[in-house]
Amino acid sequence: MSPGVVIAGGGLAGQRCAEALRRGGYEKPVRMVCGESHRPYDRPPLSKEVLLARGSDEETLCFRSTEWYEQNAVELLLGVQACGLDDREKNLHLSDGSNVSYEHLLIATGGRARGLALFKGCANVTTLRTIEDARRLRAALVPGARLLVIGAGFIGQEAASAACQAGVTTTIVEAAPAPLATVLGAELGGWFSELHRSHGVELFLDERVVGLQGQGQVDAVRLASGQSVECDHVLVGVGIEPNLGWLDESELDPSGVRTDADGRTDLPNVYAAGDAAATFDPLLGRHNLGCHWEAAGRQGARSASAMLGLDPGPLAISSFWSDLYGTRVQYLGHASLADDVGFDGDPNSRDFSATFTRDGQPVAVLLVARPHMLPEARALLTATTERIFS
Amino acid sequence: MSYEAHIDASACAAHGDCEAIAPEIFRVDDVAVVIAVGPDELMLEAARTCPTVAIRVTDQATGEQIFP
Repeated sequence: MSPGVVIAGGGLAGQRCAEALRRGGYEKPVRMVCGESHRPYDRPPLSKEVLLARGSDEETLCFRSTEWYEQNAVELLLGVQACGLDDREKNLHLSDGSNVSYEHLLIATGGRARGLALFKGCANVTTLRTIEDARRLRAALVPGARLLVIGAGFIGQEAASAACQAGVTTTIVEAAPAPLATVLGAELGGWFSELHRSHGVELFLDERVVGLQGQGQVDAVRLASGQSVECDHVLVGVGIEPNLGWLDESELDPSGVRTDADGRTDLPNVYAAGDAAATFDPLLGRHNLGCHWEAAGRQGARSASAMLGLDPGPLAISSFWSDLYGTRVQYLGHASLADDVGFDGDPNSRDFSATFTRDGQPVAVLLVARPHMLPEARALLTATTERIFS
Repeated sequence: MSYEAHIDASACAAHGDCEAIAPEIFRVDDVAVVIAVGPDELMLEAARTCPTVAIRVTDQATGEQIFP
C-alpha cells in the first residue's frame, strides 16, 4: 500500500489540496498534519465578524465537518507539527516523535504573525492569526476601550473597522506614508486613510513605535516623532513569516519554499503552497512569497493536479478583497508593475474604480463598492496576461 | 422561481459564502456548483455576496442577465 499524500499544515492550502485530490479520484491515503488542535478552519473571518461575535464559533469557521473527513478518508493529525524532512527516505518527522512516510508531500505550514520585540512579555498585546488570538482580541474590544493597532495592512485595517463598530476608540500607527502604500501607491493608500479618519480612527503615518510605558503591560507608546498614544490593548499587525524552521536541515529555502506555478519544488515529489511557498508568478516574472487567501487555495488545488498528473488549467489572476466599514474593496493583478493609473468615478468618493496600466496595458484594478465590475476587470487582465505570453 | 444561477468555475475561489446563504441552491467543495433552483432573492443575495463575483444570475424565461 502506498503511503499516499501527506500534507504538512492544516490551513486553506492543505484543505484545498485534500479536496482536489479526492475530487480528482485519488484513492490512496491522505493525511494532514495540523499544527493546531482545531480542524482546518477559515482565517479571514477572524479579523471581521469573529471580532464582532458574529459567526464566531469554531464549527462555523471550520471548512468541513468531522463526517466529511471520515467520508473522504482524509486523516487529520491534530496538534502535531512537522519538525523535519528526510526527502531521500520520503519521511516527515513529527513533533510527537513519530514519522510519516509519503509518496507526495505538500508543504503548507503557512505563516505565523510577526511580533515586536519591544512588547515582549506585555499582557495586553496580541497578534491576529488563530482562533485563540481572535478570542483574546475580542475580549478587549469593549465599548470605551482604547485599541492601538500597529500596522495598516489588511489585518490591522479590518480589526480597526471591527473595533470601531464595537465602540472602541481606535488608533493606527503605520510606518509607510499611507495604508497599503507599497501595494497601491501613496495616492490610493490615502483613500484608505480618509476612510478610517471619517469613522473616527486616528492615524499616525510615517511613524513607528520607539518606546512604551507600563509594567508588564502597555499603558502608552512613544512614537519616533515624540508623540505619545495611550491604550488599553495593542494589536500588532505587521505581517507574517513562514513556518519553515523545520526545513533548516533540508535543501529547501526556509525563508520561503520556491516552487513553479503548479507547486513543484526542487525536490522530487515535494510540493509547496500557501504562505510558506514562494510560487513562481509568470506575470511578475519571479517567485512571490506571501500570497493571499485565494492564491493559497488555488495553489493547494494546483499542487493536487500536479500530483495526479492532471492539467491544472489556466492560472487565475491574483486577487484579494476586504470589507471595511461595510464597503467592499476588491483588487486584482499587480499594481507594482504599473507606470500609470486612471480612475472611473471620483477617487475621493466611496464608489470608484482604478485601473493601473503599464505601457498602456492594464496590469491591476482596484474596485471600491463596484463588485459588479469584477468579471469585466478579470477579463481585461486575463487578456493582458494572454498578450504577454502569446 | 424564474431565475437561474451560473458559476464561472475559473473565477470561483470556493469562499463558500453562496452555500452559507443559500445551501439549497449552492454546494461548495473546491469549486461551487448549482445543485437546485431556489428563491430568486436568495440566489441574488448569494451572487451579490460572492467575493469573486463568480455567480451570474439570469432570467430563465428571457435569458436576460440580472446580475452582475
